[in-house]
Amino acid sequence: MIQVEGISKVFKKAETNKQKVYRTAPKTTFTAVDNVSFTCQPGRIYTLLGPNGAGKTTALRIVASMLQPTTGTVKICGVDVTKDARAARAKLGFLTGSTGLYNRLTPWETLKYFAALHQVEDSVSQERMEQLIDRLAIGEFADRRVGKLSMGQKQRVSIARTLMHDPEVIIFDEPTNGLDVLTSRTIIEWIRECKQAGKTVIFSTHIMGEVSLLSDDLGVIHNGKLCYDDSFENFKSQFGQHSLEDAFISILEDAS
Amino acid sequence: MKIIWAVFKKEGLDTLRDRRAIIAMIVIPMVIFPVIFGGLGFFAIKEVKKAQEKVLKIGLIQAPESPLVDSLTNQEGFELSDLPSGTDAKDQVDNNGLDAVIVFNESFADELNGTGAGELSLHYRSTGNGGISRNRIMNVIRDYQTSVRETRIKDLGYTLDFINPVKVDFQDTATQQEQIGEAIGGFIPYLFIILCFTGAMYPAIDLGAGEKERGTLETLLTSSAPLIQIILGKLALIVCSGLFAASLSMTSMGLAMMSMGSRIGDISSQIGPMLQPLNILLFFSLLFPLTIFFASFLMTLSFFAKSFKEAQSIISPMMALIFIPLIFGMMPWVKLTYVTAAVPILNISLASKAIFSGNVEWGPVAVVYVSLIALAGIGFVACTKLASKESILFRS
Repeated sequence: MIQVEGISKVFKKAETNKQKVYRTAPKTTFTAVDNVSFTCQPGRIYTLLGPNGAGKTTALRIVASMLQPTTGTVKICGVDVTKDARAARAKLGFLTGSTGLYNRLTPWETLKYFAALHQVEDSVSQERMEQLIDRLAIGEFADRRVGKLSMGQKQRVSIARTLMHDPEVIIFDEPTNGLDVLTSRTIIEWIRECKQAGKTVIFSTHIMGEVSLLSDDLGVIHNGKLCYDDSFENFKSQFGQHSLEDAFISILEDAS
Repeated sequence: MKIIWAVFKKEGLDTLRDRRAIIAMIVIPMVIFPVIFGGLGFFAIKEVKKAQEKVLKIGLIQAPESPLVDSLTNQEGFELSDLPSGTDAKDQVDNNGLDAVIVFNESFADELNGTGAGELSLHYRSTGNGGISRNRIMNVIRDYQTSVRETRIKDLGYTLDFINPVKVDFQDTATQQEQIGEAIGGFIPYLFIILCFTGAMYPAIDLGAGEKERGTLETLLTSSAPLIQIILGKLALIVCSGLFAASLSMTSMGLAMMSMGSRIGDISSQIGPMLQPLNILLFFSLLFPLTIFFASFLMTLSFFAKSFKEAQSIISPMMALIFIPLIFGMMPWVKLTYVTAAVPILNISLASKAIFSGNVEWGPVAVVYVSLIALAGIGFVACTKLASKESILFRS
């Protein structure tokens, strides 16, 4: 379970070249995430929907304890990420569209490395690696370097890496960004499998089609603020007469 | 410890599979000394020999009947030709393929037959091997000059002591090792330190900025491994890469000298005694803390950079910070004192010069160790603090 309560993130805004040269304008701040609260339940998929630059990645990085919130708290399975980031990280897996894999390692070496980083016992890690390689059909290219794999194969390795320590919570940050239809389909199926396995899944996207395919709960984020947070069923009944896209734009317009 | 080892192993494997890292860490240190000793040394010696054996074409203008002209004519390797009076000597050397032109003064023979000094001008080009040609001609002229001087002194009833009233016998108390250490002791550590830095530089850029650029840092940071242990694993690999590059260059130098000793003449016999196992051990014990500092410094800059390219452009000018103290260390008048021992990089250069020349004063050397260990500590703490900051890790 993920409990996010009133998180905000304020960054120092980078100076423009003109400001750097003339030293005229003082440094200003930029609020990337503004008092966001939501809850994700086990066995459900929470979709964080928002346009580019809305604050989705920053919010998810805070949830994943990569960034410290300026205010607010995040609890992963009851563990406060600001107080015990390591314990929280042990319970979560994080996957992005960029795969985040080492091109010069093989899938096998990658899984072994992440098992070691997550301190998975050797006896357990070997069995889990074999299971994941089998379930994700990685076997035929398990000894080939990641850099030589296709995007779809890389994504399968990336999923295996994310699940290597069997996390209770999985964060998918725009996992289909820039992927072709077939590869995106693999990811979507895996997100569903994670849900069926009883995991807490949070998924960010700006693609409407994925929302209707996956969402149990929906949060719409715009300019760092969460402007909608309810079940997807309620969303559909509330905006039933409109297409999803119209409904999304209507929420954004109301929030602006 | 298990995580540090896992990170170290993974980074090592990753680095060894990277062609660019292999070039910086292995190929350059392996090749540089054979190139210096084998290539440059061999070709320099060959060129000098060629210039010494070359038949010199010398033009003579207004050549008198003189024993000097006879000596020049009889000298092996000289091909003389008489040129008409008024010939442009410069043009003959520059454009007509002559190695030198000697223009004798009209009164040359008369002056020498009397008690005066015969005047001549020697035209040559100092570029290329012209200096060697000039020396070969001057050797003949000097021999003639000496014989004329001796004859004149004898004719006066004196011995040569008459014009050399003080005889000096130089007795250098410096051992051969000290002399060599002074001359090239600063140069050798200079190369090792530079190679150590460049050997560490590439993995450092790849392990920090490279990870950021590839998006792997994000996934690494979501693991439950403590950041400090991840950084330690990475630093250990960078330190090993730097030391490995330095060791490899040391081995390569030894092998180059062993295999090319006879061909490169005195160089191997001069450097050989300096490279005693104890000297090498002492040098590496100084290099170790410096490499930790290099690794921490490079890692911090690498994490700060947004991309591999930016890291390269930040780090490359930093080489100047190393070059400057190293060049100072090569100056013969800069000595290892308690003050210079505290100046990072300069101190290791001076200390290694003292070590290789066998002239170690342990007081200042101890200060060098303290200074380098303190520097390594500061670098390491700064690296772990800065690399843990989200404003550095997620700088965009």
